[in-house]
Amino acid sequence: MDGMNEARIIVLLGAPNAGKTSLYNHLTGSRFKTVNYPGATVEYSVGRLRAPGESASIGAKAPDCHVPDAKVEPEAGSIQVIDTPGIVSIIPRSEDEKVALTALGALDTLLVTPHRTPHALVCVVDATQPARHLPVVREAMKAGFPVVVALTMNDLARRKGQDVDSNRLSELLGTPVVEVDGRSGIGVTDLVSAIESILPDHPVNATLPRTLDDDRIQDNFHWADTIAARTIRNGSTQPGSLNPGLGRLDRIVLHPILGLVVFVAAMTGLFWLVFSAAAPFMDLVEGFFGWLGQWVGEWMPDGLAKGLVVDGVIAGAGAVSVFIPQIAILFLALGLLEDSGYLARGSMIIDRLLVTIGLNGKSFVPLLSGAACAIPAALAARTITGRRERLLTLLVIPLMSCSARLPVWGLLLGFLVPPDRTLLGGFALAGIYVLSIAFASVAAVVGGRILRIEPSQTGFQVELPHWRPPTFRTVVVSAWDRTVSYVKRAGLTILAISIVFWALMTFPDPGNSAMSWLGRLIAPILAPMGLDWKVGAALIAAFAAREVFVSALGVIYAVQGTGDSVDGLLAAMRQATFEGTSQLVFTPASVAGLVVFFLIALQCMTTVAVMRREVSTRFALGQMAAFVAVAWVLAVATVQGLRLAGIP
Amino acid sequence: MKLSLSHLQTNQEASIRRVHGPSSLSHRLQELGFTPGTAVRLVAKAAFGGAMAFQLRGSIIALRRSDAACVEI
Repeated sequence: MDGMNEARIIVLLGAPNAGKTSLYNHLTGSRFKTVNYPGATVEYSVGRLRAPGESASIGAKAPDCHVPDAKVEPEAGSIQVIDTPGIVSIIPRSEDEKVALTALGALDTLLVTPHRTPHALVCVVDATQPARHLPVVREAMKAGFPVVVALTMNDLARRKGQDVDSNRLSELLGTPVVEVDGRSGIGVTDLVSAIESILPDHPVNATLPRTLDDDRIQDNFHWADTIAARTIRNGSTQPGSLNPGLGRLDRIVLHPILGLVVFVAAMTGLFWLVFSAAAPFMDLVEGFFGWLGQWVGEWMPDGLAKGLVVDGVIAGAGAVSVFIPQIAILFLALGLLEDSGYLARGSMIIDRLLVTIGLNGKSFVPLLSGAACAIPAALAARTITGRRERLLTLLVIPLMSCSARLPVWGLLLGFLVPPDRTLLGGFALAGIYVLSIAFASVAAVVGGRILRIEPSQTGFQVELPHWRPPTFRTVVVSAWDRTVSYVKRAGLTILAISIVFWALMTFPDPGNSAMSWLGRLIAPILAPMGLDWKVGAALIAAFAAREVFVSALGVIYAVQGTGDSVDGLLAAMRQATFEGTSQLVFTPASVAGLVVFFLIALQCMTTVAVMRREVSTRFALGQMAAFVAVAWVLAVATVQGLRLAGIP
Repeated sequence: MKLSLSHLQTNQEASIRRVHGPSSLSHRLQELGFTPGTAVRLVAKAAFGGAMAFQLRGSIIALRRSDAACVEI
């Protein structure tokens, strides 16, 4: 009876896109903390199985800009459900498949339950392609795991006129089979009962094979074809029969020429949306912070504290918050692409191009999510099978222009481009994205020369999932979560750095502050970039988070008496001079140098921590040192080159 | 010369004979369902000699052209 108090563990297992994560959300509900990542699952999630009466809802998502916690303590006596990344076979060939099989106890490093295997498996089988998903079920049952089969996508199979007879399948497999709808949650209660009916008190002694030979793989498929033929109602009885060609949408999206047009249009449209649709919301946010500063200014007594709150914190937070609408729209647009099924098709189209720079079609999704944040992007790179391609992708991810850089671009481009030339501003921002892709390509090629790893022979294979109209709820909830997580992270860092900055600049006295003393130490590094120590201090602060650069400049110049969101900051920057001279700090050349610096420098400590975890300390530190050094050299070259060309 | 999936024309069907290549690749291709005897149809080709999409066992799977060349028909 001692086993009754231990937590019992169920692992969800199945092919990618079979619907494991939505099933997981229904099984666990949102009442308990889950560790989950938006987009493709590359990390396992653990949650408590809900009681039959509890209502089902979409599980809470963890913020995506932090390092996930590897260990989970299961509650005693509970039933824990583990969601895993999709697997093609029980022999892992990529990092995400290793994560899934680790949860089964198939690999040596057991993360969840040391030296224990799960009590039971829920194998998720897509009813539209049972013949491809049943071999994993067979191996799991052969290994000795108690298995319940959750049959998903039944409505789609029915529409194709090929629905699977779940009772017949259950008879043939000799284990419970439950039809579930991952979207509505219909059938989940039956699934819970089926799980409870087979769940043993103690973990079973099951071991998966370490290799599968040709014969066993072929035998599994032969068996699966036979089972599928005997359970598909109205379907063709011929094993491995084909469907009637492509759907209408795929005939355009996968067309050799039209497909390229759609790809370019989708990518351009994504970023056009970020620039154009956000503008009215950005004006609203700017207006709000202007009003807030004024209101607090009237209400607070004059003095040091007022300077901190009004000119420092509110102006700094305002300068960064202006970009929240852009960031939210970027997350929303990425979510729409993720949910529709286009990303796999995009990776098929772009594979040819990515191969030429040493990457892989599977690098596409990580690089695209790098436009939002490097941390989920680094985790998404786990889906890349070749070690060399994966490392090169991880190397260049921080060069993609992430959302934390948007406030910086807003400020720097605001300086370079006159405010009435909005179209030019849009082109300048597009140019920055083009430059970031160019730098990333060069880094991939150079990195490929330096990394001494044999090109892998794993090729490129991806399943193109069924098109789905994006579910409003999933897309909006995920965009909201990611935006809130961004605001929290940026907000706290900005608040802390603003206070530290203000203190360093105010004490012992504003004329001879601690900051100016520190700043003179780093002045020699900044002089070639055409910058003074104050900007240097803001650059150092930006290593906590890039957007802090904007609020730190806000604090620096607010102490001198101006301070009102971006426009006020720009006015202050235009007047800033090197101490004791009338020479301007911010010139077209020095600001262009800053743009180059921010494009390349790896200034995000969370990214370094994630790279360290995903690869090694040596890789993470080497990557940071190299990117900062190259950023400095190229920034200096830009500034000095522009000056030689006669641009001040 | 032996024929492979990479020689198919769009909408042409074939039956798989054997899967060649390094074992990590040939096993993965078979685990994806490209096993001997399976009926396959080429449904799309990406531009510039890019990846090819095949229909088999109710799914659409895209392979790089060099991977498709490992599947003899």
